[in-house]
Amino acid sequence: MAELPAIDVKHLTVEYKTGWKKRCLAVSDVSFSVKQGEIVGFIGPNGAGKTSVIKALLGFTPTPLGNCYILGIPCSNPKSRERVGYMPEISYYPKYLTLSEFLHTCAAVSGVPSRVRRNAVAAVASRVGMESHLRSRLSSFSKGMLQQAGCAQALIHNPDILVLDEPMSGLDPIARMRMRQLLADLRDEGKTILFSSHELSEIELVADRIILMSQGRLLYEGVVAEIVQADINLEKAFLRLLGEELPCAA
Amino acid sequence: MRSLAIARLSVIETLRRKEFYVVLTLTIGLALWISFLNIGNSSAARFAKDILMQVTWLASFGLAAPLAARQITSDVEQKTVYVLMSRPIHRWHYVFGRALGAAFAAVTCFTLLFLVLVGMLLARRASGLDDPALWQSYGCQVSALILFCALTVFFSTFSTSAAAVTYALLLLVVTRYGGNLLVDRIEAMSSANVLREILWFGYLILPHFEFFNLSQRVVHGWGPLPLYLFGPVVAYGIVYALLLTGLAAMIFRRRWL
Repeated sequence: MAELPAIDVKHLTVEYKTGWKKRCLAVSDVSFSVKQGEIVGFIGPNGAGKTSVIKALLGFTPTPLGNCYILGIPCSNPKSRERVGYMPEISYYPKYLTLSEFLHTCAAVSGVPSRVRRNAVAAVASRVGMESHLRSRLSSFSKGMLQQAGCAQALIHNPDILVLDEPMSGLDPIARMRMRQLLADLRDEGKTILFSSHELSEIELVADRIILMSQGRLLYEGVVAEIVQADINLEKAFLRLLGEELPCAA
Repeated sequence: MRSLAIARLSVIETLRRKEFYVVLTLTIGLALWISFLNIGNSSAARFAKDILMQVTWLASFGLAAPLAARQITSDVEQKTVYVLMSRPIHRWHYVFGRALGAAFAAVTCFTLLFLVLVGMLLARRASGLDDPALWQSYGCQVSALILFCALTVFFSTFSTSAAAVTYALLLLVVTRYGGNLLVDRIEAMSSANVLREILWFGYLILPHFEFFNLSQRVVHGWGPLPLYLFGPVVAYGIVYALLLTGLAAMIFRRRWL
């Protein structure tokens, strides 16, 4: 019996209202699936529709056309998010809370039992290198620290699937290296990771497959190793697939 | 339990916002100033006592309104809603948690103000802790605050926080202080007038904040409400609040984040 895909998107179309009788087609008839245990890089230029797809997966857009499933459960059902950890692109977190309070709240809302919550918070803070900042308020965090806090809240309930929107954004080189190592460790633990990023070099190092979107449509789906073999690196492949020319050096 | 975790979030945020302390300090200061007036059993003294109670009651609504209005709107505008809604909770968990948190924070603020009021009344021997009307008025105001917070959260699911505050305060003022006038005006209309029936229906479904106003019983020493009235009044506030929170959840369910 074939294994259930971790993420299964079928003919997803997302339209936003932009005014009186005006609509913007953000995602048009996109279908793809992510196998359990895979790391998939979700790439595309700005405005491609990547975040709209992620929002549909997480139930933020309650009435998209098409179907999305997480481990066979429709995304409109909150149960589909039981085993999902999400890290948003922009680190907007309740600034009046300390990191510890924030993680405790996330754990409680995710259904982590109270008897194990304290240990879970300490463990995940240590994992992302934020254990010394547990008593600090989120309002005092730098952008990079907020990214790390975001990673911690995505991992607090030990999810099987991670949806990360620009996880490397705002991180210094050492923090990037830690994040890369973390993603590799998570893959070794059998986690499924769908992450969008503009850092193609990072995707090349970490991802098994890529999904390329542009102007709301799925342009390409393929194995990173095969693409890189054909085009030398992912950036060249990206430009080729989008029909863009490589800018000449000055 | 998930709603309780979200409610806890609302309470912590409220207690850490600086404007909460500013408004609380101003209100306590105003109440203390009024307390230097002669409060006792003469008509002027009863008037001062009435003012003191009205200041306390209105301040509690004044604190509750922006507190409840920004629960959902602030979360959505600042996108802090994503980290909560990306978890396995129904949207009604979230709305209920936010409304509960706002109500709890509002009741906590009012209880502080009420304790200051009771302290001043005791100090001036204008009322005792054994006055059941005083405690009934506290209970009614708690129920009114729960209803008011639910009403404001309901408005905030489809309007800005400023608009939600305006609508809720307008309804509060109209019903609490103008309810009888409204009834007189509707009664004065011709019974053949269809508008009269529509206005009656509209009046009946409005939240009746005048039910919770027992300050005159305390001021004039008229004694407490009979239990068969007090119970239903408190229950009215809580049930209406639950209905409004349910409606708010239904609206929020369809909202794109």
